[in-house]
Amino acid sequence: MSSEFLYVLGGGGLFLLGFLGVSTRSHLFWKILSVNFMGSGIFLLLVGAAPRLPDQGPDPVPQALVLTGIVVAVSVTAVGLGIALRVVARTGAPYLPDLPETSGPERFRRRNERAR
Amino acid sequence: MEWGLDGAIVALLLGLAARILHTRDLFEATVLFIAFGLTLSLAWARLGAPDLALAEAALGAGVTGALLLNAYRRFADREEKAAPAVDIGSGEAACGAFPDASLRAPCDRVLRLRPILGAVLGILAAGFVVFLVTLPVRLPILPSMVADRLAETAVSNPVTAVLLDFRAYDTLLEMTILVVAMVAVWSMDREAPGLVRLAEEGPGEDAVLEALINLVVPVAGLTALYLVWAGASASGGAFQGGALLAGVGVLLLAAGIVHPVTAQTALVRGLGVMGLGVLVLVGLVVMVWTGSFLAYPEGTAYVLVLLAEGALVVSIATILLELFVDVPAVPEKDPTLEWVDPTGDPLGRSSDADGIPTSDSEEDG
Repeated sequence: MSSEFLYVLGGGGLFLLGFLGVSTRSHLFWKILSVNFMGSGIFLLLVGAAPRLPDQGPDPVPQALVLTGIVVAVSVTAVGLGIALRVVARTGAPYLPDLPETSGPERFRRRNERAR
Repeated sequence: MEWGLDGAIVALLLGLAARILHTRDLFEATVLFIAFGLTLSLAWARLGAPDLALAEAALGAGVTGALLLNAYRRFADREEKAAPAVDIGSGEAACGAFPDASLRAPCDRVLRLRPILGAVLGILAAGFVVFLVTLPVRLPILPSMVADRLAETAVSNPVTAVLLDFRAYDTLLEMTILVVAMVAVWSMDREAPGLVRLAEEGPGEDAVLEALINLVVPVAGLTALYLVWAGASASGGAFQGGALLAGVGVLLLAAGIVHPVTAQTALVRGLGVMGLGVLVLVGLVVMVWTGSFLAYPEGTAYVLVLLAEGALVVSIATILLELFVDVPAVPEKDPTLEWVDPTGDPLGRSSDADGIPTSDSEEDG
């Protein structure tokens, strides 16, 4: 077993850390970072676990796949940040606003016009 | 086989990730994430994947880091303006602790499930390790398949050959994702480009910034073009070069030398779509000769790959720059409206007596 196996384990650990982060951090910024960790973990797993012969170079196909994956991760981060920033702009708080059962009954308060 | 070095790199990766997920400070998380990207780049180098190392440093650490740095302050701004003296913190610290309900973090049910989540993840991790250790050792087939057909592609870097010839369709779809990201970001509500200028006075008045630009822009631009050209025979390629060009663009933007590259202009949209368009066009045109989409005819691979790479570099640089500019360009929150939502409807739609939501368009802010 060569030392590349460490990266396989590291990739798996990173994926699990990212999953933990997405599930437990309610702040949108950290959710986005956690999704990035999950992606990076999978990439490490993919390239680290690629079987390799000593006389040939490392397998180019997973490398190409992971290159694509890195670009996709950047796009996802960008769109996710955009949405999160607009959530913050609209609701004033960087948390997901769409789960009423996870927040108090008076989550938002309108200030003037529509006094009920 | 260097267990010490590889072990240190993996430990650093996991440690940085754990620290980022634990901290409450936005700036610390952003900076550590950039460090994480660079460490990951080291890991790719150790795994014998220099193209990935370049791409991770340019995209994962560089572009993502720039996006996060440009955007994180807007998360912090909102929290500070609303409640300057209070640490929002995590859900469990803020649960029910605020007089102003709009700032209260959700009292997540997840928090009560944490021990269960930890146990599930622990079992998953153990199963993962067992699975990985007991993987059967298989002889690799794909590297020899690629090596056998490499001469047909007229590029000698196998990764570039896979990206732009054998699996050019994947690259086409990847460009589609970038274009979709650009369209998604430009579809969100935007104000003037929200780029914070590094130099308040403007170009020519901040000596350090000017010196930096005079040194870095030509070198980085040339390096980017070299990376694209060298991708045919050594490590490099369109994505790494495009990302580096985007970095150059960010520097010029921050100094105010170029106008913000926002997707409101047709030029930016056209340049962004150009890479995808050229790939699709090439794929359709070669169908006339070979009958399959993106199957290059004999002897034309070099020219077609070069054409595709050129278009891709321009598009990637434009889209990444546009994302950097447009993502944080958020309109100011309407100060007269602080949402009240007794029905639990996040869009603030009013409801009649039965609790059936009716749409009310003038409430939208």
